Amino acid sequence: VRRARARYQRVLAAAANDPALQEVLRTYQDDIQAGHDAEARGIAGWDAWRDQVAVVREHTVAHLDYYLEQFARQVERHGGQVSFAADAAEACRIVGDVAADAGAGLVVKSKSMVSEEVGLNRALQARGMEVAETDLGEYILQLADERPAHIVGPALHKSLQDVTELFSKEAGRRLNSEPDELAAFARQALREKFLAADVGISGCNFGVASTGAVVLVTSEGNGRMATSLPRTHIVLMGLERLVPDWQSLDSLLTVLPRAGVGGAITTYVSGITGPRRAGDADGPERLHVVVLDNGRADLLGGPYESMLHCIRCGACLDFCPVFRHVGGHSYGPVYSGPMGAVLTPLLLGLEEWADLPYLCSLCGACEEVCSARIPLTRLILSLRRDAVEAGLVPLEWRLGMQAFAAVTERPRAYGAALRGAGRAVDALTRHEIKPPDAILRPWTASRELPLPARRPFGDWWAGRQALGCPGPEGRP
Amino acid sequence: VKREQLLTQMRRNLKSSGGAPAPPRWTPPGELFIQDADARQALLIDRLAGLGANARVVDSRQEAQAAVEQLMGERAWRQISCPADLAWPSVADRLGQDEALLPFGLVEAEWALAETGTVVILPGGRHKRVTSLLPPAVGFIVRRSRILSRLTDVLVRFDAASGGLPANVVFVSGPSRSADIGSVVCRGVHGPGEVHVWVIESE
Repeated sequence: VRRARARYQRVLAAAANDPALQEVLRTYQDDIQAGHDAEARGIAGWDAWRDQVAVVREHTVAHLDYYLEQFARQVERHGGQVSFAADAAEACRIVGDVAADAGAGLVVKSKSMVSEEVGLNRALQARGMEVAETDLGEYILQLADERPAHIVGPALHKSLQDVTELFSKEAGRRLNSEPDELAAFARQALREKFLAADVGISGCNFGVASTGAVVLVTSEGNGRMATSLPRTHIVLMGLERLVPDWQSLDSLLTVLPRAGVGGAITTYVSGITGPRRAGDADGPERLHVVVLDNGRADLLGGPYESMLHCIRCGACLDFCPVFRHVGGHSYGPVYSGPMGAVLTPLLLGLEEWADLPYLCSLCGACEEVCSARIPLTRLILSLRRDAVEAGLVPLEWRLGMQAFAAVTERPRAYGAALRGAGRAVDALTRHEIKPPDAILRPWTASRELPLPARRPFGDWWAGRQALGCPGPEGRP
Repeated sequence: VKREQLLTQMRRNLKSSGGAPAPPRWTPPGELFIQDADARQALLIDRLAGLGANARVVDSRQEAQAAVEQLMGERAWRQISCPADLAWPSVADRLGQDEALLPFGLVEAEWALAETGTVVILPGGRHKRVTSLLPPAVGFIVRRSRILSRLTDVLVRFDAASGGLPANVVFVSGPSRSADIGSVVCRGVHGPGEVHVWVIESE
């Protein structure tokens, strides 16, 4: 735990002291918040739409056993195959086996956070396959050998200059810092991969249980290519990504793009039901859906079940004042922002990630914008409680909080402590004594230390009353 | 992990009886559904323009075909990708086979959604997925009678489709775009960056 904390504080400090990153984060949040607000104002009944997302997600997760079984049967009825993976290692093994069976030398991927969660790229590379990320943001990160910093805009922390450097290196020639020219280079480079790939891997925004359709919400077209051109299409999805039927998607597809990218819809929304049919001129011959548990089923019926309602719109990241300062990489391996601060400890273990629920000021902005009305601050507080009970917070915090509680629960002790602190500050100031830095530093390094008043407010108030001074609204 | 093992664990955690639940139903605000066909068509054209597509209304299918030929002439596009049943005699000899090398794809939309400037296509059979995907420019033919107000209308039809849906249904709303490079919007990153829509008023 200590090692994890030290590493984590280094990451946080680096982010907070990186002026370029701070500028990028400010600009991105200001822009996306404006887009989000404009789209929310642009459709009748925005809050009612979000209420309906919450209703659909809650219903689906409450009956997830039924819908998952139905979904799997429908995928199979349409000629697809379905496998279930208990954890990251099993998911990688199954995907690797299916890809190897398809003779994959080259695999093209469209953006999938679940594939990041299980570390799929490295697992496939270890089996000798070339893996090409084709979402422009993911392609940038693959060239930079970095992790996504945002669940919707994975490379938003990369500046135009960064991308120019990366693409120029890949191209072997100097490219201009023109977004269109850089995009044209990526299009050409990745087009060759698409046409040569044996296997396409995608995530799944939503699975329609009644028909077995996999629904993908994308903007660039790489998702359509990865699921249309290679002979084998593998879908990797979290087991909670379902909706009962197409109509249930209405609220989700209405809210997701508006909350996620500040647009009424993304360029492409695809529904894929099984492999190509007899007589179809194109499309994959084989479709294999890998359903990942990785700790999700454990959340069902428990205090954290509502985290499974998340539709991955990213709005909580876009409005989080902490994310604005620390950026996505500060939240660990995959999921970031408020949803990551909850989900990562739940999926990957509180022991290793006990610090994440503390990356939060409890301001509630995330809850205010959450598309599925998830009570994120309540979940964050609950995780903090779990961390304390499991002894995962530093000893000095625990002792400090216990002392604080002991004093504040007793009015006499509280008054005495305030008077004592006031007198102590007075004495220290008078004798120009500075407390050793080591004592105050852990607190003052990142916060103000408010000095206690020389005379506590309670004492001052009691004195006024004793003298018969008027109280509030002139009453004695 | 065995499927049954996982489902059993889920049932236990959820204290589930395993019965078929009734999905929650909801009626979106009525003002989102436009009763007037002229208003639906006007909104569709407006939204498509906002997305950066070239959208126009034509009187008849012949006029749409003439518009396609005129565009091909202006751009010196010698070949076209198009499902055989949509082609007409004067383009029939210009149909290409390798979409990766073709400049233009033309397909007919099943529906269009006014609110979002969306065309809904159902590739399958002779209608290839790649026709609307690989060429740098794509055109969609939309019949006026198939313009719906919004997503809700088409999703209800999907649930009601008696024979089920084809393997691939796609909602396309304007040109392919990305803002992943320095937060600047680029068009045509993977899919077509140029989109034309012809709405046939008489159909």
